[in-house]
Amino acid sequence: MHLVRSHTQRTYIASHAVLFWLCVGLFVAGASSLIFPDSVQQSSTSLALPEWLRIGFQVSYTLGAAMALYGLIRGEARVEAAAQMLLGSSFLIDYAAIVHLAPDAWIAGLFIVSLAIGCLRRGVFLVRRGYPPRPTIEKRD
Amino acid sequence: MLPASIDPGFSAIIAALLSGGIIAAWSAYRRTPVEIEAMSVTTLRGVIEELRVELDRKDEQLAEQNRVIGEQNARIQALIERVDRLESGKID
Repeated sequence: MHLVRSHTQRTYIASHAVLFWLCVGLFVAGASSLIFPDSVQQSSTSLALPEWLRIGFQVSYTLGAAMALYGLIRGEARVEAAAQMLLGSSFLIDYAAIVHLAPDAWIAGLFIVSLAIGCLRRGVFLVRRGYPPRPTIEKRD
Repeated sequence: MLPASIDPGFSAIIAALLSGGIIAAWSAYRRTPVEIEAMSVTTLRGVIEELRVELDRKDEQLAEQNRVIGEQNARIQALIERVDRLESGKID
């Protein structure tokens, strides 16, 4: 028996896999910087932030990634939509803080803006459409 | 050279923006459509509870409308009886 997958099914599986591993990475990074703040090397911009703000960003990233993972795994579109909006706004605010602290880093920080746009676009997509129906995979003997 | 910390005014703006992000996330949670087939048991229970509350509210509205209609019906009935009695000459 083998599975026959169309282009749509492959795209669906690949995009979800990429999203899943991005969220795993973000969750691990956020959680480790929260649990082991002295062991994780932090950027000079991050270190220049006030303690409460740095922890606030770490909590929002960790929480957002955990929520996105929960939504992806359990098929909860509402949870993932909330997570994407939270992550997107956190990335944007993080970029604003970076540019405020180090105006020369605005080009390097554009990577964060692209992440923010990606998260917000995914969030808006989910708010409008919810989870698209999972493409059925045909089984052939 | 980076400053030791950002100024309190900008910190306040960032805190306000973070709060805005949380509100946006909550709004997204409320507005995202969910297919029934994709709902977990917890979400389904929540939806059932929301529908039950909505049904109770509509039930109360219907009861209120029924009461108003009943009052109007009673007034119309009284007027009809009065007209009947006037026509039959029982009262002036």
